[in-house]
Amino acid sequence: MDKTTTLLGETFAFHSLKEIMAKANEERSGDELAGISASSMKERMAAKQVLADLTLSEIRNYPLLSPDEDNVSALIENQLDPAVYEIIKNWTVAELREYILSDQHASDDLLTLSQGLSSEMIAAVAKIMSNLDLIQAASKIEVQTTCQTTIGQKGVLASRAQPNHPSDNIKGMRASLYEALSYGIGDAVIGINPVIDTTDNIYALLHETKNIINEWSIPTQNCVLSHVTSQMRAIEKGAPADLIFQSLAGTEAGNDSFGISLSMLDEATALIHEKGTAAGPNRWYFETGQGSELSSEAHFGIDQLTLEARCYGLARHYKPFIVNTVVGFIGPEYLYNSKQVLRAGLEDHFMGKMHGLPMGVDVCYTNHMDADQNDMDNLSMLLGTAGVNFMIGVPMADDCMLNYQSLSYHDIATVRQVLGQTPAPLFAQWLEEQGITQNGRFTSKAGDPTIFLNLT
Amino acid sequence: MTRQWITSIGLDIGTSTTKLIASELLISQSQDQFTLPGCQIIDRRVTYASSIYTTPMVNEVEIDVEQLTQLLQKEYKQARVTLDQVHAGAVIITGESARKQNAEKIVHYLAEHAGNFVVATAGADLEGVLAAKGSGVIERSTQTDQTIANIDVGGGTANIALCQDGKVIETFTLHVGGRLIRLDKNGQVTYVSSYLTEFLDSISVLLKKGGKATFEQLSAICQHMAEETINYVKGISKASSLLVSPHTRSDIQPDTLLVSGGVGAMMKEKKPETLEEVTVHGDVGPLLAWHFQAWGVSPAPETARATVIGAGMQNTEVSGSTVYIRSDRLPLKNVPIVNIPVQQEEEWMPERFQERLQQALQQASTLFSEDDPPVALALSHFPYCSYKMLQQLTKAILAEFTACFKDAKCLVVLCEQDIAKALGQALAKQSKTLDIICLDQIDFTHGDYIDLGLPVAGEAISVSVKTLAFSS
Amino acid sequence: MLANSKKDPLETLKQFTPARIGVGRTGTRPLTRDVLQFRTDHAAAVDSVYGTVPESILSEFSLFSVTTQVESMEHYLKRPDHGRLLADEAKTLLQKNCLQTPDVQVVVSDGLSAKAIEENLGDVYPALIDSLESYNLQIGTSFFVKGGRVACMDQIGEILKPKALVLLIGERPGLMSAESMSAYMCYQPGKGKKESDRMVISNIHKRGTPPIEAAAHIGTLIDKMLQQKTSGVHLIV
Repeated sequence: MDKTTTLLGETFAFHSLKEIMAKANEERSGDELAGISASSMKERMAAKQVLADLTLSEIRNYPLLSPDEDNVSALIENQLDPAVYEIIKNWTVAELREYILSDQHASDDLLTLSQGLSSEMIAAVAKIMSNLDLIQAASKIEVQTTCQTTIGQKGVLASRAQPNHPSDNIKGMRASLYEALSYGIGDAVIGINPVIDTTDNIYALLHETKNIINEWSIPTQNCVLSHVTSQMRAIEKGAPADLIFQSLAGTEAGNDSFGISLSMLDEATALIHEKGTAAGPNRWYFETGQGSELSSEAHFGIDQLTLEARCYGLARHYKPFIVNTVVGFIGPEYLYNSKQVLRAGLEDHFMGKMHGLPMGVDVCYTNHMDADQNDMDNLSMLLGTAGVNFMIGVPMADDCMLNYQSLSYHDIATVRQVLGQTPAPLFAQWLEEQGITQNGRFTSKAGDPTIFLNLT
Repeated sequence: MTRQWITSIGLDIGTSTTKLIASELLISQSQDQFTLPGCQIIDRRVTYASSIYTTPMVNEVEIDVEQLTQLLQKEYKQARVTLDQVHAGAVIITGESARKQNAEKIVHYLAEHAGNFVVATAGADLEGVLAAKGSGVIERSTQTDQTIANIDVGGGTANIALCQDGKVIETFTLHVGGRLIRLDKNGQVTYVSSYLTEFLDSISVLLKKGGKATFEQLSAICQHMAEETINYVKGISKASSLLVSPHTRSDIQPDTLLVSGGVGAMMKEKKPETLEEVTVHGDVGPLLAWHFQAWGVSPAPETARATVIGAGMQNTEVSGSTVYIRSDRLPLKNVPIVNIPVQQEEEWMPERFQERLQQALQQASTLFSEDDPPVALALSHFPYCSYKMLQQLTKAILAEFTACFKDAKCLVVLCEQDIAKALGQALAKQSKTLDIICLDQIDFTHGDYIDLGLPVAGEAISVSVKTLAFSS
Repeated sequence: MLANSKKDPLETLKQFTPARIGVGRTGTRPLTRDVLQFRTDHAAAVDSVYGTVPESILSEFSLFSVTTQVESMEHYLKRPDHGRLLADEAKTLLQKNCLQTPDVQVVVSDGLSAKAIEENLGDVYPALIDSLESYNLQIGTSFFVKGGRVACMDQIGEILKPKALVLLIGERPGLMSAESMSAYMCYQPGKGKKESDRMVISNIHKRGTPPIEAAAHIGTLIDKMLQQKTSGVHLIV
């Protein structure tokens, strides 16, 4: 594909869709590291202009990575609903943007539209949307999913309790989880990142989280975020798991470097439906994040935003209960500062929702990134207004195992309060029963983890 | 990850009963790629438990070693254990059986017939600890915030261990047991322990060998014995005529009391109503058990076999995985432990440490100068150890050790903190001639002697800490 | 320390985890003291990224300094590939100053935490040298690389051809510890070495993996590498 455009008296020539897509991205260090970003603001705008005028069929007809060479491309291609695609194939990306943002089109319209959109088309439109566009569009889309409980309703902001411990100490995990529950956190999932990836350890953690859920009749689901194969071994051994987890990449080579394949994901799907402990249809928990393909040298010169969209194309095939982007975890060589993280968080959330996914965000940063907790305050509030399905909470925003900062349990409670959002309905009712909230407001018990100390 | 099962034997020869268990310990070395290697016993399982025998006696105080020998031979056979398989374990000789002449005979026998690594041990402190381990009370204490007392009541003594969060924080012993008074079914008294004289006086019960006891008298005795035990354990009363060794920390008040041992096992039975029911075993055990229950105390998860399980399964530990050994002397047995706190002041003061070291080693040299290694230096109370401090420690240890034990060729050092390899290398650098064995992550709080085995996983070696040494 | 049995239940919970729990709240927000403590810990972590290793500690162990192709901290953070390559003059300096083909080469780098080097080198470095000497290994000329990444080991390996290389480097700081150091080890580092060929001991600091014990263990590992002529996943330890 060759496209030329003249902007402010300067002519810009682009020689491939890959180049246009990369240069149309808002600035981010990962694209610079890959050597594919626009060299000036003007060139960036030229690429956006060119991209806006491309039709959806052009995007489909010039695959960035051929379905013959990559099974994620093939899966995305095969998902496309021909009937929907037939209607929209001659739309330009600009028209797609305007359709999405129009007041005439509500959640159902956008979810129907989604069936005819490839991940690359969704990435393309995100590139020409402003931050507020991304918020407005995403806020319209309602994606409900059901594992043990249902989340994703309008006005619901769910949360993952992430009670990690640097040595997987069971009591330490419990202590941190009690703190979470006392702030009304944990309705999306009680999810632990283990330090030790052995079957025995995964088994023990699944057991313990399930015990706590049963002991206190908590309407939520459990998950241990180790490699999918170790979870499968633990589940085979009888470990109680509501959800099964895996990190995804947007290319076959990227998934290969994660040690996973599509057949492995299929196998895990069958296993969790056969031996998992949940009742509902949605049993997967996926995590993604811009930059992972570049870091494993599996990016094929494609920009990290587009690759992220392809993760969602892969994810939607498995009808997950929750998906989240770990937006600020990967490091400054991919997203350098708060401006880039904030933009990426809004892009990922929109693109996930546009794929029909139950999208959450781990609003986070590392200590070598040019960002601080105030930036997380901002992003969490923006995502709250965008209708994010869930966010991740750790004690005082400090994850003592993964060594990065996310949101505090307090922060999620604050976003709910300020925006008038509630926890998932059953969980909200449970909080009332426990006396943690009364008519939706914190009581004196809230924030006191010792209410869960079983002293008998 | 390397894993290895080893066979361990536990043998409990008590005042009234003798029992044996065979068990297997799974030793695992973790090779997480980011940290120093770690080694621990990750699984323990009982593979065989003998019946509970009456300890064979020649007379009131002397054990019949011949009969015991036959009994053990039969049990080893039934357990399908041969001597060369046994890599760990302990025989614990408790209560009145621990008299020296008995113990020595038994140990002589065991040296030939029990397997190489079985260690002999006795002493009320360690008994209490082993019983609390074997009864499951230590494990239970990890699951709650409470302090739990394990009261192991056997024939002659009650060994009490107060447990908090997986650790024994205090032990003490009382003359409380089922066989301190023995009698036939008519109430004819055949034995009254002299330890009970003052106690019986205090509750105004007259009981003499050859006399007759009534059900009411025995009830009164057992009721008071249970009450006095409970009040002392709870810290309500500060003194007791039944004390063997008092507690040192009366400020610790346990929340829950559990009873193990033979008396604990009888607590599930119904109340004995007649003299005949009391004296089914020829003693007051059933009645004492009932009175513990009447005071609202429950039996521990494991009762009669608590001590033997503790001895067989819990007495062996493995050292840390980064250790230093420049010696071909392993295995070593009966090395006396000399405990020296590294830091007792606000900050690390090398001169003060050296003074303590000198004092402890001089004293030890009057007792243990014949063997080599003469002693194991056990270093506790470590602050953070810098390179500079390591040099100072090394210098002090070598200076005092060589001064006190001029003929010794082997230096054994045990550290609480994970620094054995660094300390060992530093010692070896400064002394080219001494054999050096330096181990860490060993809990030597409740022991007087240590046996050092061979490496079991990676560099880590198996160790048993014990309270009695018998030269064999 | 022995705990009393009647512990405050909140203290009981807190003792099980270093996580910041039991902090309380006003409204839905944390209390002032905890917020400021959290921001202070973050400040320490950020400062250790942007800090520099004091010259005094380098001269204490006679380490000379070289640089990578990185010119600033922003450059370092954005271009990990440049932190893997030595500056041109650095190559000359190494060739001029260093013993060639030693048994083991020790390299120190600030990496993502200058503070980690400042706090731990004084304990780790001499203990490491003692440990290597105790195995009678020939130790190369140690030096400091400013702005290094882990994989700079490979280029240094190409230049000096040591049998094994130890890189002591500052880790990405966390809030728990801004001064945590890692030791990476590799047998015959050079072009084409994979991550799985390297070994690492991480979390080395006063409250983590004990510095002197880590150093002692590195000596043992290096000795095994030289005996087995391999490292990483292939080494039998």
